[in-house]
Amino acid sequence: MSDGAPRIELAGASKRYQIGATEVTALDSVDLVVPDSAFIVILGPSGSGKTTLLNLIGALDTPTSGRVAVNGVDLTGASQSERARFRRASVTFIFQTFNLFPALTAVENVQFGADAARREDAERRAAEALDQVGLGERLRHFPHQLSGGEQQRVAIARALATGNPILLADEPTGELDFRTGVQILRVLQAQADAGMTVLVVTHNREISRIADRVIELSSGRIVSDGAPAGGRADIGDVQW
Amino acid sequence: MTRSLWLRWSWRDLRGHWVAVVAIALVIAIGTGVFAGLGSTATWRRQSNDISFGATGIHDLRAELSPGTFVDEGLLTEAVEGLPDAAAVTGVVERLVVDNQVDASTPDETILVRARIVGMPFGDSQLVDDVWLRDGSEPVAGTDPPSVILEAKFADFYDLPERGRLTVSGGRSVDYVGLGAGPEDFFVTGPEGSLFAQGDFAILYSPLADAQSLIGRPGQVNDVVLTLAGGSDRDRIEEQLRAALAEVPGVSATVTDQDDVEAFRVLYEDIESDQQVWNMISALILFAAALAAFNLVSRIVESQRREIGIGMALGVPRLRLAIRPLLVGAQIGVVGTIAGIAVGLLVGAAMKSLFESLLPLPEWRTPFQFGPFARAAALGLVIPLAAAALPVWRAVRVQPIQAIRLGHLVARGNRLTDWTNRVRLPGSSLTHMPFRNVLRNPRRTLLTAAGVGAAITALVAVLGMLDSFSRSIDRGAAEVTKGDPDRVLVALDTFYPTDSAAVEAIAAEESVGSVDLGLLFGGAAVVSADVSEPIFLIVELVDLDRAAWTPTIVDGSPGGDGLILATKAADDLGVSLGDTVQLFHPVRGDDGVFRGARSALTVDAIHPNPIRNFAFADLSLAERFGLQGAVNLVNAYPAEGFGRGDVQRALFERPEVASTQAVARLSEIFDEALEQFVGFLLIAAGSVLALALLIAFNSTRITVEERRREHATMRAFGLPVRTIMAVVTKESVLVGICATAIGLVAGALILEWMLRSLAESSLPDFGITSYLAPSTLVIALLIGVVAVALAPLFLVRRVRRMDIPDTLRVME
Repeated sequence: MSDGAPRIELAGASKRYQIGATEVTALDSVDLVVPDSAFIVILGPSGSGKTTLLNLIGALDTPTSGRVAVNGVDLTGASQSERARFRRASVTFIFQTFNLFPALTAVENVQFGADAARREDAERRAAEALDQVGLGERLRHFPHQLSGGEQQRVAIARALATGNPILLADEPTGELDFRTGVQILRVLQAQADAGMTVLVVTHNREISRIADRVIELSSGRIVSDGAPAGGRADIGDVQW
Repeated sequence: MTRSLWLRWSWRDLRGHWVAVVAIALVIAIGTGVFAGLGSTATWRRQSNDISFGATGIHDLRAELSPGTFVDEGLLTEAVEGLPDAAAVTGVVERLVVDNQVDASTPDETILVRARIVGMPFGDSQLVDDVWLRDGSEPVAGTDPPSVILEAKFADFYDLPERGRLTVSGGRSVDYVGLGAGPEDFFVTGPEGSLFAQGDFAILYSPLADAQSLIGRPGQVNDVVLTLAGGSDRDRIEEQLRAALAEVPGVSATVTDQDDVEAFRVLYEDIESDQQVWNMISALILFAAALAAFNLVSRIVESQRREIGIGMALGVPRLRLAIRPLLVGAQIGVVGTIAGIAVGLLVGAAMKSLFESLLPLPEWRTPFQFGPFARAAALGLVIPLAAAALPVWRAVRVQPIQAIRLGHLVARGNRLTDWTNRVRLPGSSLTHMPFRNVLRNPRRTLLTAAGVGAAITALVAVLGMLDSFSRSIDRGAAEVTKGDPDRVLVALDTFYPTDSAAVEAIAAEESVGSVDLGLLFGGAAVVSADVSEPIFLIVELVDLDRAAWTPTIVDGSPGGDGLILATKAADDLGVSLGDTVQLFHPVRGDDGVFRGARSALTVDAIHPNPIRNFAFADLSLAERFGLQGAVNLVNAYPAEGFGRGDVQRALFERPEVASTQAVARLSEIFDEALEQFVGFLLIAAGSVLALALLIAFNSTRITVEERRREHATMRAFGLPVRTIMAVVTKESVLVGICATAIGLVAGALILEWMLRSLAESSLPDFGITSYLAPSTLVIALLIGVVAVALAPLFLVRRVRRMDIPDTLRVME
């Protein structure tokens, strides 16, 4: 990342889809700057454009217009292979449905993250990451032998094992019960505190209470952007 | 829900899956098409044989006078007309049939072969054993030089034109004005009943008077053929004919019936044994297709499992829920059956073309065979329906919630995955992934491998047949051509004293460098007359100490007064070294007349020629056969500066020479004959190759479809498409290795079985050991591993163009 450049910068970024004769605007001229590490929640109802925003930042998609630069890389006109290289080096993902590899054990799944990012000593990193999320005893378990919460923690460990500075989580607690969801949020918050930029997409307003910054979207536009109302709450105070 | 909704939904399914439906339907099509196409040939051959033999009026009875015996024209007809049941005789024809030699050399090739001249009437009067004229025109009697019809397969073998000039023994020229065949020669066998004789034996059909003139027997005949009215008692008339001919002074005749005609017997008997081979091959191909279809269809239907669960939760009757997935099976079945008919017609057309070139008959009937095609169509419909029904049945048996659950919640391991978990695999997670994926669902892996493996099994069995035949023929050829491949076998027309002028003249020919004298006669060997089937032997007495060519000995030590048998003959007789066999053989008496005798001979040694009929003994044993000091076989070796053609040409003119044959040509004839059969097997091999590739492609395509979320995750983590495809390819390689191993083992077993049970009944004289050539192993590996491994490359575009965010959010 070049010195002084923000971690994430979107300028007038729009994303429009053509569905038959109808043009759908998923994101409409979004301007956003994330200077450094933070725990950011992107909030909004279904169809508000929050996942599209996450996809643009994660270089899984390209804007129809406007500019997207992440970690010092201008993704606006990047080719598919340039975007893949960027994803390997700069961002990592956590998905609502975990998307673990069912044939690999927990440690192998996490090792995959390190391997994908071409980190040295991937197996050691994987073991450490699993330890970090409290699964140091379940290295050799397959996904089907783990609970939903454990599977999501493996997914977080996989993201951490990449060592990339930006973590993008799409509804990471959507499949989980409250108690497990809180555990996951605690782990994510800890990563932001440790220097990562963590963006969590959710429709759950309660989660936004523990964020450093809340970006609210509606109909593809940012309708509010700032610290949560009433200040950042303690994670023990949230409930849904 | 209305029926139209189901149909609309199913139509949308079809549009969504059309590539899969078409691709799996093609698998079904190949399986059922080959089954139907190959299944039609038996009826075609039977009908074509019936019509062809009927049209040419194949004889019911034939009487041949003993060699060297001739009678005046009309005498044999008189004998027939005097039979008590003469009224049952519908046609009688006298002929003159004599063995000869022919020189059909072209500027490029020396063609000196044994020949037979068949003198017979031509034109409308010919009712029995008429010649089918394939090309050219009928010969006209009395032309100079005489005109004849040349047997068509011989002409085809040497690419001779439909008209030309030949020279027969005595230097007489004849013009052949057409190509054709009599019914006895629809399948050409040599004078000793040898197979593959078409390149080694020329038959000339000549007007009777011209034949009589050619061989210096004016007004004489030695053969009569007759047809009988339907329903007449052939055996009784055969006996009457035998008795009538025995009354003719100075005549000794052999009477045979239609079933003794080699071409008639072979062309009908081969239908059954060939059909068994086709049935086995088509069953293997169909089995491979069925396995693959089961695997592939059930994997497609499995993907609808969640929707079935939702339907169950909404209270839709289970039977109705089964309609949609079953319609997928029905769509595949219908498309597969229609395409299968097309494949069947293509296979049939290819087989028809091969039959027409290999077994030229006056008429080839190849009508559409409703029975095999109906059976194939029924299988084509039932297989995909059954394949679809199985996962539906499994889905509707569980609680709705189990069917609805997302894949990651219902994913289960198995003992194998749990066991392999203990094994620490080296390398990165990407190295582990293909192994883990293969072990994760061993049933599916095995089914896929078994599908491809069954196709490879068929391929290995088919190519293995060729390999085994080729190797056995090569072994035989190597044996007869060892030493000097220019060796020429010179058969004399009778027994001559070793110091006779005839034998000395042969040795004195300028082109002949050296000669070895020998004796050749037929016999039959048994262990005990009561317990074993006799084996016909061609016994050659050769000077084992001095002759330039002697048989290779693989076991035992020759030189005693025993026999040297082929391995196959010893095996079939159940004898080993030192055992005794009873040989029935002719013995020449002091009066020069041969009589039958039986001798007990020890098995001294074993030779490697795969043809069991060849037996050898030392020339010192000649006395036992009353042949001391006699010779009827000369092994001639060309002199320095001369070739085998020169020797054959020089000896062609000699009256005491019955035939000459270069041993090298013998093996070439076998090779060329075998090449013609390759065509049949290539049809099967081509079908199998297409099937294996289709199965591999389908299987990989479905795997890529099932793993699309995993691939999307990998791409989200920035892995290049080539890395993802490398993982898929490695997985395919593992499946391919399993498939190849299955195919090779099962193929070798089936080959062994086919050779034992089928080749032994069709070619009992030929000792074939199963053998898989390196080229076959390479082809199996290429298809099983390389082609299967390359199948993912067809899917690169799909992975490259994948919508990653959409795929990651898919809820199954």
